[in-house]
Amino acid sequence: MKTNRLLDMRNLTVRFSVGSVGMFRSPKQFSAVDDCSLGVGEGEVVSLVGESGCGKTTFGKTAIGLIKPTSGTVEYQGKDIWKLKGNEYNEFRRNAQIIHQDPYSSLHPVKKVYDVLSAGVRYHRLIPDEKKIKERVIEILGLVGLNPPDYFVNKYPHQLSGGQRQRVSIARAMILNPRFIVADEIVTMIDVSLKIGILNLLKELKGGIGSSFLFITHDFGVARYFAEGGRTAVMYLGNIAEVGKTEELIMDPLHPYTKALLSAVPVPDPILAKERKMIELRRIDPPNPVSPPPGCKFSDRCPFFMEGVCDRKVPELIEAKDGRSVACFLYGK
Amino acid sequence: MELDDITSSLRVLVENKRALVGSLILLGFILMALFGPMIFPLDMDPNFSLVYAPPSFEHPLGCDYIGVDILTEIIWGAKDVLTIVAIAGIITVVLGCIVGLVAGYFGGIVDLLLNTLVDIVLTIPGLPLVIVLAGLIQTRDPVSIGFILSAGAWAGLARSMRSQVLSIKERDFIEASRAIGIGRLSIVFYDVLPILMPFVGINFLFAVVQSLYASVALFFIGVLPFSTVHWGTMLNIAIQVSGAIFVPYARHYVIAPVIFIILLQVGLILFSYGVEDIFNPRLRT
Amino acid sequence: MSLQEQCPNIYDIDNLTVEYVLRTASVKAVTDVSLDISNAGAIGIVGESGSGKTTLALSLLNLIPTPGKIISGKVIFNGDKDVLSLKGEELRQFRWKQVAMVFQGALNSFNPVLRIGEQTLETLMGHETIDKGKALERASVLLKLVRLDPERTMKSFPHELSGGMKQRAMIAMSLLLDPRVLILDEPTTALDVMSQKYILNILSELRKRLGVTIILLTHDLAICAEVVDQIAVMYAGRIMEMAKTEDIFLRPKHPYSLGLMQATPSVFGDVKKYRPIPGSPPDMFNIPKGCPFNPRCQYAIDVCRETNPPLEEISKGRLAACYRWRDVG
Repeated sequence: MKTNRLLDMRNLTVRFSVGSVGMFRSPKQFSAVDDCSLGVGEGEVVSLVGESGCGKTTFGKTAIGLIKPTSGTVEYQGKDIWKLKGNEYNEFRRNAQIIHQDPYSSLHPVKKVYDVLSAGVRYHRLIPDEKKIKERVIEILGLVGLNPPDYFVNKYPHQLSGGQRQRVSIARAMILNPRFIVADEIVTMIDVSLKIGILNLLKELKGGIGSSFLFITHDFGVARYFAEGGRTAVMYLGNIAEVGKTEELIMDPLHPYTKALLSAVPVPDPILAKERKMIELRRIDPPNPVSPPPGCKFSDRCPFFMEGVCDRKVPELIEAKDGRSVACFLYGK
Repeated sequence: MELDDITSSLRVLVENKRALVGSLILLGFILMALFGPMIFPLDMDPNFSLVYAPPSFEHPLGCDYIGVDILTEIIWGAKDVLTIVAIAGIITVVLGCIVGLVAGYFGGIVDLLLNTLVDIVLTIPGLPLVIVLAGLIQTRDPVSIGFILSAGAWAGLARSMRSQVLSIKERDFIEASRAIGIGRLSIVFYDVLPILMPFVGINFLFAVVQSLYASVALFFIGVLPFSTVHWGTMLNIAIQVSGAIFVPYARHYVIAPVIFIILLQVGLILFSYGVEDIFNPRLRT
Repeated sequence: MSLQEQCPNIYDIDNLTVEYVLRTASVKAVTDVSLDISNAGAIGIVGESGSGKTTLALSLLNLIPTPGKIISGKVIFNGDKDVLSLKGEELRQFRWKQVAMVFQGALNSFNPVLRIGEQTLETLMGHETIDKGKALERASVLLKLVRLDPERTMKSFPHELSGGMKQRAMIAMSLLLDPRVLILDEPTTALDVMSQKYILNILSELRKRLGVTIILLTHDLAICAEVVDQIAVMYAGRIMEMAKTEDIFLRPKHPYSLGLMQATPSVFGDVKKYRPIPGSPPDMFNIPKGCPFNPRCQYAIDVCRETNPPLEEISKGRLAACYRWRDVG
């Protein structure tokens, strides 16, 4: 099927085994990602929002080929990434990068900043000689705000603060001019006063290089800030619950889980906060991800639960309104 | 490796008092092995007037069962001893690392095959294996002896390297290297191995210490061909031929090699305290 | 006589300075902090890393670990107890019976090999002579208050509970001995949004039902909007501003408070108005001369770089440490 999408994830399922293997016990299988489909266009920003354990990180890493899906396909420019070979594979690899969450474990502890940044450039032979590589490294350090670049070039990670390390991580992803970047909770472990700075930096770099982003976060406020003109997808226990334009989705959530999530988000306005009531769920605590309820995974907590419908099958992601898809039996035929 | 890596490593070593003492001891042994023979000529002609001569000014460690100066024998033996244990240590570590790293990182069928190999080698008892090999491959060459000594030792290291790799390969910075596209072998040797250098260094030193004892034992038992100046052989002659532990006036003949063996071991162990420091980037900056 | 009339302030903190003395240097974690915490009130202490809020909270229990030293100041509990001079059995009784604290990362504070019920009873009976039946009853009541099923929870091992459930169980446990004050250090940081909302609701309820004073430490200004009456904003070990919740959010008078508001993106409000606070968090070994916030402050003038502005009462019950507070906002 012809597609104008840069990266197209179709019916992705990623299953893991949990539990111990015994004489009479085989490990349980659980689907971290369960039949999810999402496409990201050229230069587009898609936020992936969900709580911890919903599978968003697994989804992101599967999207760029770091995890092999149990079933389903990931297509880069129309071609299955797991079938690419040789130069085509190298092309894809160079163009699909990741920025990790934890600045304290995303950089090699025994490597200097220069080595960290030049490795990819050298591997893909993007720049012929060592002198020019050094120039490029200096350039990118300046672009991510680590000034003066000469000071940072020979530093080890332990000599840098969390915010500085995160900028190095960003530089590492960006130096290859990739067309697609997965940003996995990149400001979650950053001080409040610095979050917007890092997000603005990313927005600027995105403007310069034109990369697409899959921006993973549990914080709706951050998702909204980064994916302002783009789309947002909401995940729950391995399924995509809803996808749509960011502003519209926040103003008018369709899926009960999205509604509940938005009603629980803290409001920095004490008067408003007192008026807002969280949507009452049938059960407070989420189920064990290894043993979700039958049918729709949200069914045991959903205030709109319909017996005989919601506990039968998992709802499919269908287009409910223009540009909005929901996986809920309340919508559609 | 750049110049300031070397200078900072030396600085770290000097700052750790135990490692400093250890390195000085080791340096002493190396100098003894390299230059000693030039300075102290070995005269193997029997001199019956000096049989079991006690320590004196001309013969600081006394003389052996045929009147040859013990100190000179020790000095000449040092070269063989150090060569054997160094080779054994290096081969153990190189083999153990390669097998452990590759098995741990590549996983799958490679891991299965290598693991089976390691399991087989581990079931063979160490010392008997070495004794059998030494008996079969009768050789005087210290390098070959070093190889023989590492025959079983590498497997244990391979096993523990593999489990270290299993936990490291899940770390974020390794995943970032994969995302960049860096090949598996490059990741294993340029990303994973540097993290494990302290572990490798310590294991190297322990392998050296083990092979020191193993080689002394082999010479002592007499399995390895006779080489008069190896400390193990000296012990052999001292105890079995001369009955030196029972004969009070010949005791120095036993004690001398024992002291040097212990001293070498102490040097190695003290030096190992510095190994972790050398590879710690926090201390080098 | 209501609680409020008995003693208006449950804590009077007066010019507290706490220093950590290390081999190579010393760091003032808390400098010159004066604060009154009302009885049965709820106060949020907001600050990022290095702000000193955890050290301040620990001093309320006289729990400062070595190499920390109290350089000066007093912490008076309930008008008459000098917390910093308590020792031995008196201190032990004070902690947990009068004041309880739920530490950061409390999710890992449970003993993994004991069931929740066993650990709970252990704590209770260790501090008070009370018969087992009554103890279980009290635990049940508290667990229900935090929306947990008492029977199921008591029988479970910690790993069988989710993060949110563990945190709520932890809160229930800390209330077992009926303390007057509950201090929580970043209680919702590792939790998902819904668990966070539940816990905040629960804290409000607990306050109403049990009359316990809540001291909430957090870096997230937004969660303070719902639970607390007052907010104290800390930076580099000092209090920058202290005011009623509404005032901090709608009319901040310190550039740092204003900066925090503008730097926290939320789903409400104009996306375009968010901006970061320039510069980086303070290096506690090298605090700048004058006001510690001055290198990052858009309102800074020369005097800010020379002398530290004192914490002054700028209106009734409202404190700010800024020379230009009138121009802020």
